Amino acid sequence: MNSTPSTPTPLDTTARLVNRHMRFGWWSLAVFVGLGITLETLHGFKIVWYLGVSSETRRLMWTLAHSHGTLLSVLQIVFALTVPKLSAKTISSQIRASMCLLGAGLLMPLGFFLGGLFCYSGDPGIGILLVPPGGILLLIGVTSIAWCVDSDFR
Amino acid sequence: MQDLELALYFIVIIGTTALLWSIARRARKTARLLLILPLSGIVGAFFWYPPDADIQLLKQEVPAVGRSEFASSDACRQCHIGHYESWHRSYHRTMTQLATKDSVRAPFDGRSLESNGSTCKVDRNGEWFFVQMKDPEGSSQDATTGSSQVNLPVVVNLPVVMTTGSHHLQAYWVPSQHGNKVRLFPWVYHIDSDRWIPNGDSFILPPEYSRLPPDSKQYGQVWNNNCIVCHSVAGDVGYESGNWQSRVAELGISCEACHGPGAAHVSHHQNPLTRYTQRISGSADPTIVNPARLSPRKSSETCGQCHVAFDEKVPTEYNKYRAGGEYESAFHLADNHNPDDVRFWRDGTMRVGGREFSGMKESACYLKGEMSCLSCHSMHASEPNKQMRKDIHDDQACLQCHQELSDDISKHTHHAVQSEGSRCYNCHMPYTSYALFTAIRSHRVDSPSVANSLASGKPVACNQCHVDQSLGWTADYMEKWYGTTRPELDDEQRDVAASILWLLRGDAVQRSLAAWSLGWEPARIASDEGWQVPFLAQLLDDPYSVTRFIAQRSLENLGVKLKEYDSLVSPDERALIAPSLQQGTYPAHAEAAHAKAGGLKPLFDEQGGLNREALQRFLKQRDDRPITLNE
Repeated sequence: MNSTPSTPTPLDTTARLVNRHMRFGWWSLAVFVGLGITLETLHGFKIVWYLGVSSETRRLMWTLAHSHGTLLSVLQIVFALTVPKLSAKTISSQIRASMCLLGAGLLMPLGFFLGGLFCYSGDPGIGILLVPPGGILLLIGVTSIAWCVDSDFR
Repeated sequence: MQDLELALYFIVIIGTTALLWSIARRARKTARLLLILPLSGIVGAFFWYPPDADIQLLKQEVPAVGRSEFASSDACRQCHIGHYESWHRSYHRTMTQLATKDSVRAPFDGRSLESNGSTCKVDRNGEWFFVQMKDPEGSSQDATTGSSQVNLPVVVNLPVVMTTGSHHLQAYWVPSQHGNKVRLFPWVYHIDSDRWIPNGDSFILPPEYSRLPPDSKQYGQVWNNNCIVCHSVAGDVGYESGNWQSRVAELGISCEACHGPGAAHVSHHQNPLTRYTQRISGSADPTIVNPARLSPRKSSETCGQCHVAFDEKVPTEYNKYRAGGEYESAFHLADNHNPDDVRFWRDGTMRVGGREFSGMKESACYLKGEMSCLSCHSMHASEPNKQMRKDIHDDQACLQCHQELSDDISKHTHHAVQSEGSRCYNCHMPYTSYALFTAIRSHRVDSPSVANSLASGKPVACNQCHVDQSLGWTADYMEKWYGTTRPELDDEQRDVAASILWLLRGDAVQRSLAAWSLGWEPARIASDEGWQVPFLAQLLDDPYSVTRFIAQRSLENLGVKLKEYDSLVSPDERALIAPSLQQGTYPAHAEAAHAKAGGLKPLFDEQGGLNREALQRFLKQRDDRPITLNE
């Protein structure tokens, strides 16, 4: 039986987006909730490497990694729930938004985490350089979704 | 470590880019432009330079930090934030620091520092502080050919790696080629007067030292085997066969200097249940020392591990004492009653500041009572300057025990209640110690005694305020008020202002303290001001640099501006200043002195002119024995 690649229909694309962001969102949420529990444990056992004066930057970076990771995970799930309600005419913007949200969901929390993993006195490590591109991706992604929603619900 | 950091960084970039590419393949081509964003991180990596690279380099040049039984102040902060913050404000913390833009107080602005034919230079390059000086390792070679045949000193540029002090003086340390040994830069910075001073002029040292170039070997102090004992926590010299691998628990004086090693305490309390059980019980924690819970003696010994005079003839055994532990066997302390030790007055009272425990341990309040350092001082509930307890003001420190005097203190002091003459410590802890260009209160609590002053040379508190009065005058009042037996006095002791006798006839410490007293505000109020000028002017040409410096400051307190004078100038130049300040007349003071037969009477004629014959006679009697006080 010959199987020739066929152009995906808008319905296929929507299903794929929902599938991708549901899976990414929930797994990501699990990881960052786990990070939150780890940070609380470090507090409870007074680990110098996390709570010492010279670790203030690490504490801030990892707190930011935890909060951004958790919120961006929730945002992925919200996006997955939003996509089925959008029409096919905005499908390219939805794909763009998907790319941006996934990029932001990786770059921002991992940037903060890496920045805290290797600290230099009052400054974070090189990982912090990943945060600005992640932030730009997040802005483009959210703007794209807003545009889609605005087009379809006007 | 940085390799791992970069590896993880690129993994995140490549992983994110790959994921986005898998989506972008099916999207419009313009969506692929978004890949630029994660890939931009690769460009950033080329410009990356670890922000604390300079600090890491400094750390390699100074004694290593960290010892196994010690946890560091960093660990203490996790639970004791308030105590950590009060310590962090203190000058104890900043006693020894890495030389960074936050710690260095002096201007490193490219200026040249010149003295006695030697020139040093101080400069800065970004985060780094540099000095140019004669090679402190003492190597010498022909600067032009590199040959070691000709003994010309090599001038080297060295980074400043460490600082000592941050309150009154700051000293700077440069690295050597022998492990982590650091050596003293020959100039110190006097913070109060905002000026550089040669190291040899910053201590009370015999005049011949002041005539040496500041970078001569006599001043080649090494931190690792000297300052390490008190200016760091648990210093280990680590010297072997010419190589120095010194190690400290922490630079500066931090938590574990007073509370003992904390690693076991930290480890024990990492379990939250253990912490809360300890808090609820309210009992003393056996895993850490709290000086406030120790006996007065043990508590004071904790401060006395540094604030004490060691026997200079016995090599100090470092690294034996731990807070609250065995004290006597850990140190070789100086004998307060050794008549050859110029650091003590002849009655055993300490006359150098910074060795307060040596004074206090001679006091009846300590020997017979409950007095400890913590009776007056607090390391955490106090202001950084002097660290006096906030909950105790003025006389309350003494009245905690001497309550019988509190109802009518003027009955005891014979001075008005609110006056300086009624402050317990002005009489019982007078300014009879010297340190860091100023007078310091004695920490031997005793009572003023003319007889003791005659025997020991120590100034009497009464005459440090009543600087215009003689010992005879003081003896009269002591007999009248307290029934003290009047000692035998010669004519000068009976008639001439005691402060002027100390100022002109005393040794370097007596002269310095007397010079300070003449400019002290309570003394100026009690004894009027103006008449002190010709006597202080005489000290502007004193052989001791520190004495000249103090005399200059006292003159400034009296309103005399000395724009042309510098205590560091050559003897020829400074000899010109005194005569000009001794020309004036002081008729009002002379009249008052003659009227009430005060201690100034023999020093001025009827018109108020200076009695030069008396002045010269006292100067010839000056005690010129060499004195060294390294503080």
